[in-house]
Amino acid sequence: ETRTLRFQSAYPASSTIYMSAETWAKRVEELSGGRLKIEFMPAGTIVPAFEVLDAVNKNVIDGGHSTVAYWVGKHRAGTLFGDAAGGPFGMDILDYVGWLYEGGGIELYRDYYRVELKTNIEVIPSVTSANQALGWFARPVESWADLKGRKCRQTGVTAEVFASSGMSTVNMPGGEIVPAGERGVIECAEFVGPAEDMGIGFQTIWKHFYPMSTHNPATIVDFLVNGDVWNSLAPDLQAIMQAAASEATLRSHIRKGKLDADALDKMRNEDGVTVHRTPDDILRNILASWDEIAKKESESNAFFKKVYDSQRDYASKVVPAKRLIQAPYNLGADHYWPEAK
Amino acid sequence: MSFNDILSVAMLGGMLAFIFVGFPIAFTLLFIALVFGSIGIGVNITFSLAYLQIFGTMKDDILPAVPLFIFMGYMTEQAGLMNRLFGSMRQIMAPLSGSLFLAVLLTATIFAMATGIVGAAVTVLGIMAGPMMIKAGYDAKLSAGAIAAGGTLGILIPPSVMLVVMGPTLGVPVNQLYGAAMAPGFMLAVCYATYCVARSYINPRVGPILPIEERVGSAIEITREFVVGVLPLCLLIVATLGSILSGLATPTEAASCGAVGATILALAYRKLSFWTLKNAAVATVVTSSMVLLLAVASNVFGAVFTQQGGAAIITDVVTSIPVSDMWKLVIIMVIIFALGWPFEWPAIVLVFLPIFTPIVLQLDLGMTKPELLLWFGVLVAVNLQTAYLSPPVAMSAYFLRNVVPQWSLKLIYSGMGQFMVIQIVFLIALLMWPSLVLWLPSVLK
Amino acid sequence: MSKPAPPFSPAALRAIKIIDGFTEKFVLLVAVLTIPLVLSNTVEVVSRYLFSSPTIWAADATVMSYGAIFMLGSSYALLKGAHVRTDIFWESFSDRKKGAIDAVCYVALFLPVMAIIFYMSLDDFLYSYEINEKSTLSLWMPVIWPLRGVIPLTAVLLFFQGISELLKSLFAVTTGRAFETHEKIEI
Ligand code: NA
Ligand code: NA
Repeated sequence: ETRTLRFQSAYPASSTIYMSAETWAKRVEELSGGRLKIEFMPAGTIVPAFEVLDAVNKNVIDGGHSTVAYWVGKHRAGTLFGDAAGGPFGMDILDYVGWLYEGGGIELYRDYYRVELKTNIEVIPSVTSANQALGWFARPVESWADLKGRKCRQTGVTAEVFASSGMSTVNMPGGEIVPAGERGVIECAEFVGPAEDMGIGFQTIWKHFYPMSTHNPATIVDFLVNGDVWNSLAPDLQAIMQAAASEATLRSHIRKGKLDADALDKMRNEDGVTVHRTPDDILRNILASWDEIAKKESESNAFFKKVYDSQRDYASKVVPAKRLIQAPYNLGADHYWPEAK
Repeated sequence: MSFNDILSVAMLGGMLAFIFVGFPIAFTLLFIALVFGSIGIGVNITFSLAYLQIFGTMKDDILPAVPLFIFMGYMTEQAGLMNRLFGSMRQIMAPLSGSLFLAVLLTATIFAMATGIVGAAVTVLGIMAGPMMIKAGYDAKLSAGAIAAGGTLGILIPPSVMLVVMGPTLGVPVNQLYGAAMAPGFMLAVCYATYCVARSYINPRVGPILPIEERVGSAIEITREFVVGVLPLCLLIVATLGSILSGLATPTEAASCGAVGATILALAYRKLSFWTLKNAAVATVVTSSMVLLLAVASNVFGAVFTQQGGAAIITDVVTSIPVSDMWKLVIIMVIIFALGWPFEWPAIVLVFLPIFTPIVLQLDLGMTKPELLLWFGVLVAVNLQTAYLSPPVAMSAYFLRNVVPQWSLKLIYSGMGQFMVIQIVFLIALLMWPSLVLWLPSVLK
Repeated sequence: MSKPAPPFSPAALRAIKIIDGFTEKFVLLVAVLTIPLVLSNTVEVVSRYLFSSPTIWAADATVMSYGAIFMLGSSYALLKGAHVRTDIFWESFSDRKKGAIDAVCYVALFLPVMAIIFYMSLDDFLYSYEINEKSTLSLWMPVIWPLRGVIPLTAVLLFFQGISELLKSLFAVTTGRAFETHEKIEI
């Protein structure tokens, strides 16, 4: 007997985030021997992208695929699950997933949906990208101060991080960024990274790309399952959904390196995009700006403080240790692949 | 056929039957969606889905241009800009035969670039030109037709409220749709004018040359009137349309600036008072409510219909018709043309277009999907212009009849009929040569 | 004028007057929202292109006033007979027949739909209010529960205007003539 669940993504079908989610759906079906089938749909099929959470909560759809960053209007601690600048506290994506599974993060993640937002939702985290790009610009960017007055697509608290530079921001789902660029609503945009951004066509609008940034070093995308639907599934099917998410996470993470390299080649050689190195002062100012925001938020938001403290605890152990253990990435890179002057 | 398939067919059939009863379409659609959805996909899901669609439409970032362009239209009308425009055009064209036809069509074309609503154009042109054409002994049918058809140019030539509403429905950026509709709009205006002038040359009694005493004003007076009365409006048009087409401003931003600009012009012409502002604001509320509540209702209906699998059935049925893809497009165009008899454009664009769009996306006509949608959008726009002209629900005729009581509805209909023929021939030309539509957007890009 | 019409309940006439009077006044409040709608993007364009400092509030102000205007204005549009009908057959019906169709539709279709919309949107409004939900469209991040509240409020406004319209249609059924006639709204 086959059980079919209907899932809708907050991402367009052309994005690689969406494709990773389809991989997950396919693996769930295979691993369950066909007992559980996930019918996956792109953003807007049933509800608009930013209504995915409400739709899952009300069981308009059985499940959703989105990021916590979209729900900071409901509760600002959402930003700590995936799009906090600086990791936070210097964690890279693997440290960050370490915090989730070894540092108690996953319980806090569940509490965010269940207790704080009071929704009837089971969350299955799934990483799609590390280190998001600073973004795409119509005109080159020289410095942090040079961001002033530009109107960019930014999501959630990240928008506030950049706002202290004087940038003006507007939020919109991934699928609407390129049309908005064509209509002149925005002159720059941040979405994910090289391959992902090319998938939805940024290179046709903007010709200056800055792949390096510190604003989203560890991005998490999650599968949301309606609580009643989740409870109605046999324990082995629940386990399969979680295991397949881990697998999809790992696979997409691995694949990303090659995909991004190919994308960078293509944008430079075929699309006439200039790839820039992000100025250092931007990288530093992002962290400083985020620290301010997080400090202020901690003072008034108890749950935010709880999550933030938990991350600091975990990071205080693994980040300094990693610095002792791991040689700087650029050292090896410079040795074998010195940059052309 | 599954239960949901039967339900979908019943839902579509029920909707078609029910809206002919005559109760306001928006509420009828909501009712049918809630009833059929509750049966087919469950009460809770239907209610939640309806709620999410309503709220989603309220947060749309393109549709705010609709009330803004409507406000701009009302303000331009209040400022009396059209009167001055027509006055100038009449004087400039006076020495030509059929001059009043040309003045009407030129005024209509320029005004179409300043507003996106039709009622104002037909009404004002009717009031100004109607009596003049009667007095000058112009052919009554052709006169009525020129005013009624000229007035409809406003929904084709940007900025057009209809194209703003169509953009999100088709998933096409509004500024590109504007670019695509521009050239066809002007060509159609030229076709109208050519027809009128040709008729006047062949038979001078159709559009006699005005007697000398009717040609008021010296060259200096004409120039002054042109500078004071016409130039500011043209500047407003260039600023509004230019900023949209060049991508400098979004349609919403341009519409906002256009609305403010029209208000300033009204102030400059001393036509602005608290009451004009109040009336324009209230009229904007009413007209926007009419269009946008229907948008809400259609979105709810469409979401439930799609959830039940109804859209997929329609697509399957049409795509399985054993004719070439081009003929499938022609069939869709004929259906839309037929829908134009009983319905006005808001119902067709909002209720029926979403049903056709997935089919069109399946057609292989040798162009990319964005090009296909742009072309299709303009074809639909030209097609729907005929909805204003096709009896029995021909808004243009009603507006005109209200202000020129000397012309009977029958006379107006037969005048409009001639322009509908031009319209259809032109539509066929656009079907045969897509580059007429796609050329300008590709240059603008 | 023709022969005197059959009498119609004075209480109903009073109810119509009260409801319509309220709707006529309420629309003025809604019309005030056209001020932020019209001005915010102009301010945005000027400050963005002339002073290179875009606003943080224009996007939210535009969307919120737009959403509220057409929803809250819909009861006045109903009063003015602006919501489009398919009038291909409608035009040829007698006033009494129009009244009968409207009466049936208001009772069986319109009023239940408004009750449902009120019921299904109220919880979301209350929840949004409880968590003090913010808009994430722009950095301004204004509270968004008022916009969610617009939906149940619209349902209430339409429900009451619907009662007035129902009484008017019953008037047409009883007396055989329309309570009032509307001009077509241009678009
Ligand atoms: Na127009
Ligand atoms: Na018609």
